[in-house]
Formats: sequence, structure tokens, C-alpha cells
Amino acid sequence: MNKLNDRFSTIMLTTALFIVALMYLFPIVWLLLSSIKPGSELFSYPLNILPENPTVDGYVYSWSTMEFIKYFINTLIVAILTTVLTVIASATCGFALAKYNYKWLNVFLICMLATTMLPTEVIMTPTFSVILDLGLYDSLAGLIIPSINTATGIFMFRQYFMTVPNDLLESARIDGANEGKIFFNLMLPIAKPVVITLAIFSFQWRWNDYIWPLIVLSDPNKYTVQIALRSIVGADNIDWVLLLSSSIISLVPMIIIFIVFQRYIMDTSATSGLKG
Amino acid sequence: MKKLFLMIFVLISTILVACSGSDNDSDASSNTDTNGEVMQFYVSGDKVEGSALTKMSEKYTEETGVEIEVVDVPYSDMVTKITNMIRAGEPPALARVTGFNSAWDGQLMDLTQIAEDNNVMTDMGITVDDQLVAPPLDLTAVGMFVNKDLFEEAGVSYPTSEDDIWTWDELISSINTILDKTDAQYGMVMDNSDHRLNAFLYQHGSKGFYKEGDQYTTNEETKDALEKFMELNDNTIMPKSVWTAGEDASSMFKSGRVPVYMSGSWQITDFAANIEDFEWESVYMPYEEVRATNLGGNYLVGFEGSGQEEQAREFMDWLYQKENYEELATYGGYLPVTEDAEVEYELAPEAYTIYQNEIAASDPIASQQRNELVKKQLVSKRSIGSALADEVINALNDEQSVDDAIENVKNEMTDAYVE
Repeated sequence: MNKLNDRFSTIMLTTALFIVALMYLFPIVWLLLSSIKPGSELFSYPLNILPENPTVDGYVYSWSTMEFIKYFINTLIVAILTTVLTVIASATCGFALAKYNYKWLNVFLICMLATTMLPTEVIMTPTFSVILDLGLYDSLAGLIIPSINTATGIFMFRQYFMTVPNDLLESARIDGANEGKIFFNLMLPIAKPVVITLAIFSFQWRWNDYIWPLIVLSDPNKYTVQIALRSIVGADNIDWVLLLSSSIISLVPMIIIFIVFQRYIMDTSATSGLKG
Repeated sequence: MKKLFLMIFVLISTILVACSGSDNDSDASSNTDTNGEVMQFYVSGDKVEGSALTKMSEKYTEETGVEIEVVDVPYSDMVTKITNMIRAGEPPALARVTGFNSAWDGQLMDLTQIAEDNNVMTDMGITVDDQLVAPPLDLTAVGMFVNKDLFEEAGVSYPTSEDDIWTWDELISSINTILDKTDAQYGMVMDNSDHRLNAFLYQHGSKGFYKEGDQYTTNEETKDALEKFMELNDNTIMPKSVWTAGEDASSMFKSGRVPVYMSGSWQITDFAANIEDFEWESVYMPYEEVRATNLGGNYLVGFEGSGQEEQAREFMDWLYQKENYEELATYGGYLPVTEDAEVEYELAPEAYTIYQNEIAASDPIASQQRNELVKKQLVSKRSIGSALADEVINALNDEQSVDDAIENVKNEMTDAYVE
């Protein structure tokens, strides 16, 4: 009986998994298939899923019109630097908030959490003024610096460090470790799942960021991928052939990163899930 | 472990310093640019339009050695972008724009001389205090496309010369025949836009919305025309979804299931390259009271305070010269704005002829109104986006009557533009 139940639920769950996976996959597959259709097939009726005359002309056209290498390098600089700095800033801050017992620390925490209630769009104008006065307008540093601090990251680390027993810290202190050593040699390695989770999130946020780079950057040599993509959309019409193939090209680095770090990414969700 | 972190830390700081260092470098180099090398030209949609301006800029560099960098900015963010650059005290040298912001007022170069020297149609530009601050760079016009196959299948004809222009009633009866005899899904589509709707209104004798005394008003024909437009949106002749739900009219026409599409000259290059399943053609638009189109297109502006005003002037003067301008218009498929230009279009040249005739025959109201509205963006503190389209959409959704819609547009314009 139990065995039957098991099998039944396995089949049901697997079916559900397949349906959800297909729902996620379908738009991407359609995008991919559309990108190898010639322009005349994109809107023909009846609509075919498979291209009749597959062609890679769109890709050749798009690679020659758009300077992808430049955009990728810019985006990578921003995404990697921001991610590294975000992880360091969030981990140190989260550690202090979780393990030190000063009177005002919790007030700080509340203040930081309060910032999550303000969407980026709301604080955009003041942030822009600051960037402008600091002379960071039109520089990649102007993209990186405002994005380093995230309340989400700090909160993730704080919650994680709260679960680490204080005894562990005490025994380290008795063994003669100073606070820096405790943080780097003990706490940070323990928090590896959080580090990786936050790194992945942060990298994704920066890779997909559109509105802030659009405001800060004006030099096309510093454009990130997303702004470059957007510039394909014209006033009254859209060059679909160019847009579709460019979108696919812009996905490639993310996919490569996923393949390389796949083990960690999968690992992350498993362990962070256990810890949660 | 500690060493590792120390190393990472040192590495990051080095990269950061290097990064900010290179920023300083580029700042320094852009300072030298100001004195004589790379000049930035902000445009949107150049890649879509055959990279026409990029090619011309390269040609200019070859001839004179002055480098021009064409910066392609997303169309919908162009005005915000340039306004921000002006705010940052770093306006671009040149830009090609369709809209303006009041923050630009007083920052634009007076281009009267350049325009007059090169026979540019100055009445299509924006003149503020007797200074031509934004001459036209290219022209687009509202026009109509038909699906030739559907017309032939149903055995109905459409005008092929200016001698037998059709009326709206004739067009609608042709559409009804096509709907009966073929498997066409709808009769016609029109882009969801103020600009296209205004052309429709002018053709029905409307004078648009204009200032009378201290408020904006319109004539009786506007109401009749809008009521007719509402009737056409009956999900048989015109699908309601295009205006109320934002369905893409252009792709509906490209699917080959809609015989008539009211859009404009900017579609020609796309259709010529991307429609193969059926024959399409540009046709003369029907009229009711008068023949009318609506003009659009880009303006060329130069900014004071870029530090490159002289080079910008020289480039603009060069660009408007007859032979260079003709080359630009050929690459981009633009309708010309200089009086003596003769452009040989590569794709669908007959379609361009129709547009040129259409503009010549159009009631002057179209160009007057358009210029006035664009100028308002520059000199008024507030500007209204697409008031007419928004109100008409509300009316199409049965949220208000046509009378209310007209009343609201009048009020919005009065609030925004009457001091």
C-alpha cells in the first residue's frame, strides 16, 4: 500500500515537474527558434513553431552591427566587482549585527531593513545627484558603488550568523583568535552557502540591470549589454530579426557561467534550503 | 586562509584603483576631445534605419579627419537622457530627436544660417524667438498600405494614381467586400497613436485642437470624425484590441490577414525586406473633406556648452549639402527635407513617390499643428503626452462618451499650454 502510494506520488510530482519545466522552457525555445527564422516568416499566418528556411543571417547581421565584446566586458566588470564587494560588505555587516551586542545595533538593522521598502526608482533622483557631485557620472564606478550595499544581503548574513552558536566564537576567543581571524577563518567559511547564494543573486541583478546604467552612462563605449539591446527598439518600428538574435547572443555569457558554476549553484539551493 | 583573503582584498583594491584610474584617463581624453577630436552625435534607431548616420559620419571622418561617434540611444529614453546630460553640464555636441524638453530651452544652437544656405525647408523646423533651433533632418508621413493579394482575390480595386483618390465610404465598402469574399480576419488596422488618428481627423475636416482666446478648442468635424472612428472599431472592420489592448498593428498586417493598414513611410524598408507571403503596396489615403496626411520625422539639434560648437556647425553644414544629404536619405529611406534633393531609393521607390505626392496634396493643417505641438514641448513648462489617444481609448472602452473625451483633451491642453 505504502509502496503504491509512493509510486503514485512520484509519478504525480514528476508530471508536475515536467509541466512546470515546459512552461519555463517554451518561451526560450520559441525565442531561439524565431531567431533562426528569416524576417518574412516571423509574422506569417498560420504561425509555425519550426522555421521553414532556417538561417543564421540574423546572427551574422547582429554580430556585425553590435559591438558585443565591448558590452560584455563592461557588464562583466560591473557585475563581478559589484558582486565581490557586495559579498564582503554584507558579510562583515551581517556578522556585526548578529554577534555584537551594542545598544544601537538593532536600530541600525531596522533602518537598513527600512530601505528595502523604498524601490530603487524612488531614490533614483537623490542617488543621481550624489553620483553627479562625486564626479562619477558616466563612469563604471558610478554603477558599481551605489549597488554595493543591499539590505537583502546584510539580512541574509545576519540571519545565518544568528544560527551559529555563540559558544563557537567563545572557544575561538579562548584559543586566542582575534576578531578578524574569527571572521575570516571561522565565520566566512561556515557561511559559504550564503556567500554563493548572494553572489549569484548579485551577479544576476547587475547583469540584468537596465534603468540605472541608462541614467548614469552616456558614453557608448561604456554601455552595458542591456542598454545596447534596448537601443535596437526604434521609434515606430522594431527590427525583430536584429532584436531576436541579439537577445540570444546576450544570453550566452549567462549560460556559460551557469554551466561552469552549475555544481555550486545546485549545491547552494540544497544546503541553504536545509539551513533555512 | 587569512592570507588568501588579504590577497583578494589587495587584488580588489588594485582593480578598483585601476578602474577609477582609467576613468580619470577617459575623462582626461574626453577633455582633449573637446578641443578637437571625437564629437558625439546622439541618435536613436540608426541601426534599424540601415545605419545611415553612422555611414555618413564615417564618410565625414574620411574627408575631414574629424571623428564623429554616433551614439544609438533607446528611442523612448532619448529625451530623459539628454535632459540628464544637460543637467550634468555635459550636453552632447549633436543630437537627432523627435521630442524636446523645456530644460533644453536656451541651450540649443541657432541653425538658421546653415538651413538657409542648404535650402532646408525651414518651415518644418522649430523656430523660437526668430532662431531656427531645430531644423528637420528627415521626414516621415502617415500613409496607407494594402494587401494586394486580398484585394485581387475579392476583385476590388484601389486607386493607383492621384486622379482617382477614393473616399472613406469607398474604402469601407471595398473592405466589406473583401471581408465577405476572402478569409481576411479584419478589415483594417491603424497604429495606436495620436499621430495616425490626427491624420484621420484632418481628412474628415477636423482642424485639430487649437487655441482660441484663452483656451483650447476644436471644430464640430472633430466630433463627427471621432464618432466615425468609434464605429469603425467594431471588431469587424477594425479590431478593438489594437487600440485598447496594445496589439501590434504592424504584425497583424504582416500576417497577411488584414487588407488595409494605416501607418506611415517608416514601414516601407521593413515591409520590403520582411514580407514575402503576399504582395503589398503603398496606396493613396482616402479623404472625406480634404486630403491630408500627418508629418513626422526627426529634428537635428546642436547644443551650446558642449565645447565643440564650431565642429558641430561644420558637420551639420556638410550633412545638409545636396550630394551628402541625398546619400543619407538613400541609406535611411528618408523623405527629404531639402528643396532640391533627388533621392534614388533602393527599396520600393514607387512607394516613396506616393508619399511625396501625399505630402504635397495634404491640407496645410497637418504640418502647422505638428510643429506647434512639438514646439510646446520646448517652451512650455509642462507637456502632455498622448492626450487624444488616451481619451479615445477610454471612450472605446465605454468609459466615457466622445463628447467627454473631446472635453478632456481641451482641458488638458488648456491646463498645460495656456499660461
